[in-house]
Amino acid sequence: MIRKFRVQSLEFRVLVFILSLFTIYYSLFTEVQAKIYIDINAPSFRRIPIAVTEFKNLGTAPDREGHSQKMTEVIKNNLNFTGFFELLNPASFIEDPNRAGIAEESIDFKDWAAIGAEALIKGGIIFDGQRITVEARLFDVFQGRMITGKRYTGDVKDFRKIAHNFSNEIVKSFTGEEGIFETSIALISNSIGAKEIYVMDYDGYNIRRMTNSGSLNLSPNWSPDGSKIAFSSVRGRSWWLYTIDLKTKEEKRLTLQRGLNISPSFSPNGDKLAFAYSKEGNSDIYIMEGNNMRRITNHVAIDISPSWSPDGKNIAFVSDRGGSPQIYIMDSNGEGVRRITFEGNYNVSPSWSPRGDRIVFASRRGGKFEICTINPDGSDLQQLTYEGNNENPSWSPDGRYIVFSSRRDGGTGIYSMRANGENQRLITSKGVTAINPAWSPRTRE
Amino acid sequence: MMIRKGLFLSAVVVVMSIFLFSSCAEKEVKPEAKPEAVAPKEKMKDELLAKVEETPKLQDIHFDFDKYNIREDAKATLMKNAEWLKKNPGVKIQVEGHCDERGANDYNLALGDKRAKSTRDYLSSLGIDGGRISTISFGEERPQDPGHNEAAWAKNRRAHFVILK
Repeated sequence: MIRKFRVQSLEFRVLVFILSLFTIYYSLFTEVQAKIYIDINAPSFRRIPIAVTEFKNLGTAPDREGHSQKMTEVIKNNLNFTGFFELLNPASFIEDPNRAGIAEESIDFKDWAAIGAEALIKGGIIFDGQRITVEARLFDVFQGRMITGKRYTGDVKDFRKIAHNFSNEIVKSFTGEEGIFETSIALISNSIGAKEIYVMDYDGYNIRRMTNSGSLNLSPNWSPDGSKIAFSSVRGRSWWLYTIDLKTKEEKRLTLQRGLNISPSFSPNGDKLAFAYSKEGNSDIYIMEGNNMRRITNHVAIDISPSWSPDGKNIAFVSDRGGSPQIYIMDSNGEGVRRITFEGNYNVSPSWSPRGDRIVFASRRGGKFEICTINPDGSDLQQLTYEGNNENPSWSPDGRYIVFSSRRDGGTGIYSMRANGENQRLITSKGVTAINPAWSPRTRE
Repeated sequence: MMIRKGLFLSAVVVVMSIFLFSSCAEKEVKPEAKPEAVAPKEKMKDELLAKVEETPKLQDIHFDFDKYNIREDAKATLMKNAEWLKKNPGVKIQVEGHCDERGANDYNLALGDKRAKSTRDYLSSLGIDGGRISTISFGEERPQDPGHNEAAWAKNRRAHFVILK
């Protein structure tokens, strides 16, 4: 077989030579793309100064609804959210936007170096009826070349999605890991009277109702593939566990006994569901696998709120077996129960980081509820919130951010923050009462 | 020979263009599922209330924060409730356990569950057949007083009684 490919002519040899040159060039180029500019795990890292220019209309049809500006704003908001970047003020930009293009050769990188920019975002849109073509590029100002570029075609109404996708590319270029801008957050809101489940984009946009039960629904928990949400719901004067398929909105009641079936939690590979069940006033943790239900705690105290470690070997949960609600960890078969919180008399709602290194929970401190994180061995407790009353924390799939509900500024809404407590911001609309946020896994279509 | 060279050159040009443009990958963005607008406030079609009847004859009892033991002041109320239940032997009731808004929603469901069960147990100890009493917890989800202060919280930490239809 190999013999067939023996070099036979001079031309062919030259072609092979040129090809290998390009291969070398190409692998160097991709290495640049994959180079990690920011070590976000370093104790302190420097924010990258980045300039985001407004996307240009590259076509002949007008931009009637200001999508160029909107798209730029979405990208800026995403980059701001990460905490990795310092967004430069457009007032400081030297470049004449009417003259400069979005291609490497039409950019004078000195104009950007002069204002301290190390990275530059440029983009263009062509409008064609309800369709758009978007060209988005990230440049390295020092090296004067493109780091990554993408071309998208889609419906105008998908402009946020396109901006989120490109933002993910930007974060990937700098950190080696994709961003979380295309993820969603489930929550509970009583906007229409009953407490129903809603899903919104990670930044609070595009909120849509999932359940229509006219009842009480709580504790949404995503399946690891992002296709469904488990939750607890009161139906017929009893609490049951349901799953809802997010595409079809079809609800399925899990086969359970009447009583209090609450706080479902999918195992990392999705084949098991841990939850709390109480029949006679004593809730314990159970694991359901297929049609099998196994009790894994057996204590007269309250055992509730299981959360799996990302390797599936351990489960964090809440128990008041020590006289007050505290966070405990056990092996996923129920053995080896050990308490990890000892500060304060009310620690609840544990959620294990997808990175495995921290557990986030809500803690009552000085009469108020605050979000804290702790190592799974009980060391290095950190308080992240200091304002309002904060509950029900949930990790982003990359373990870098936390969403939680907070009653502050006269309302109760969903807030997000970095895993170190920085950059706290309200993501639901003002005036919308929302609780119980659950961050989705990364999903791919 | 000339033709071969021409072919060779065009091959080089094609290869070059592939390399130059490959970094600009094209993506087709699929349309998202049609977002459903959040409807304005409308009345809850409450299946929870449809199946029960409120009665002034059965009085609420109250609890301390994060506790589910029956307080001394609650015992007198439960005795009156037990008297009424003895006079109305055909009635089946459900005890609802409620909490104040503080703390985790699911922990409060478990706590409300404990409150409902300890209330039922106390009624049983007064001679009421446990088979007439079912329980449910509403945790912090159905406050009697929507306020965010100690007075509201004290009212909301309660066991409430309804007649099952």
